[in-house]
Amino acid sequence: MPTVTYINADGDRETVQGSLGTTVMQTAVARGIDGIVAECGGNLMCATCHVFVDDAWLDRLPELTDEEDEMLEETACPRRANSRLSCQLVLDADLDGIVVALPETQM
Amino acid sequence: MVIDEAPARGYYYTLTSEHYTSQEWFERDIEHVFAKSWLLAGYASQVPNPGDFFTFELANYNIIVTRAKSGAVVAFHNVCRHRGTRFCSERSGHVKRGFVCRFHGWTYDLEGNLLAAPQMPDDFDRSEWPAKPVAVEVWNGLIFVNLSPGDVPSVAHTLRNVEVGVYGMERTKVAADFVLSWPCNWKLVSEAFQECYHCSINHPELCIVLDPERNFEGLQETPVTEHDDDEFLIFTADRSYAIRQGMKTFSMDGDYVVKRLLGEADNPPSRIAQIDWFPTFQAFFQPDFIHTESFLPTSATTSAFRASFLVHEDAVEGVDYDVESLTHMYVKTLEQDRDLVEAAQQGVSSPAHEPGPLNPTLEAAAIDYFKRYKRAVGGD
Repeated sequence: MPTVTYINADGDRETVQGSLGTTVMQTAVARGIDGIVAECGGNLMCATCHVFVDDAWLDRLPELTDEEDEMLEETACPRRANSRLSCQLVLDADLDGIVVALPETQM
Repeated sequence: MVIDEAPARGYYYTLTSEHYTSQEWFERDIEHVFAKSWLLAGYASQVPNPGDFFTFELANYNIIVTRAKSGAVVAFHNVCRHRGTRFCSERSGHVKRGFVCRFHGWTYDLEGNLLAAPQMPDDFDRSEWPAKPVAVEVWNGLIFVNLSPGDVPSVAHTLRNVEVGVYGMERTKVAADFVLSWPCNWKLVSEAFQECYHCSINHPELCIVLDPERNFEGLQETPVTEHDDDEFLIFTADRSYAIRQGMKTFSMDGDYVVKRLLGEADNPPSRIAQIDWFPTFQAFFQPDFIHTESFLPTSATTSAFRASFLVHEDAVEGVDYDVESLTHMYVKTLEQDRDLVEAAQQGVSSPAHEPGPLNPTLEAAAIDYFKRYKRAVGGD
């Protein structure tokens, strides 16, 4: 079972278990992680599931589509080089153990 | 269902009780009056940026009004084309790209087009399933919607002779905007608002500013609509004949309540004007602020009464005006009206009620109004 580690804006780390085929966003919502809002339920409409992916995982991520790229311009906290929308990060064997940092706010 | 008989004995009569109490007449009024008329939904200044939206409710209709990417104001029904779910649950707000129905993720863009319908078959044509559009028109910064299925004359055409340019409505902002729940059928509000026969007894603050007996006197010396427009529209460009001497605006003491007047700084308005338009829209134009009143049926026996106050967009709250002083006189007057219409509703609900005679001069506008109403719902 893949795990995901979330580091909140204060630096606190929390590691939870997800499952193959769910997303980093869904895992956060299911496990009660504060700091991911996901207003639109994973439909690339709200940019409120913004995460900063730890550098070690950047090249293992699914490809960035134009749509996600467009929505990353709308995040509440400014976009960085390692920004992704967690609703697009599907957990597979490659992403087991992934570490993401959460922005100060999603709204 | 009873359609009123033609007036007998030289008087025009009010409506029978069921018009004010029955579910049947509530639905009929929605269908034949409100769903076929231009209705005030809100203000352009409330949706300044693409993605800003508010919703407008009429009976079971719920309509999203939003600013599209093009900058146009657009309206569409808040009903998902999939299984009919109301997909926007907020009264107002902002979306970045579109509206997502949280049931199955069907997504509508800012024009109401179906942007996404997850996991539908490849040959599913999203372009055939947009959110159903609603006619919308922005007139001087006021957003009107119309649910008519067919073509209707535009607001611009209907109000073509309404001259309010001097008030600079495009450069106003909403200083106050609230909805009151009134315990009466909407037509009782109309009856009360089309006459000032009741004003001297019930509206002492209003009557400091207004001479109630002259209120409807000078109206429409120049008609603003042609005979075959079949419209009830009164535009009074200058109400000074009814304003008491020294009174400059509708406030508690008749003095301006906003330091920054409307319109151009070097040519502010100097007169008080008024629009009165079927079914339920009135706007009062003072040199310092604009007050709009509109109301909608919410049930056979209740109405939603909306009062808004517009000031110059450069007027600063707390400096040029405060909301309490701005709204006080009208709010007091509305409170007085609320008590009156409540008693009216109670009385007309009695089985002992029967239609009564209207004052031919002091209630002349109400008589014209109800002739217009009857043309809308059938009957003379």
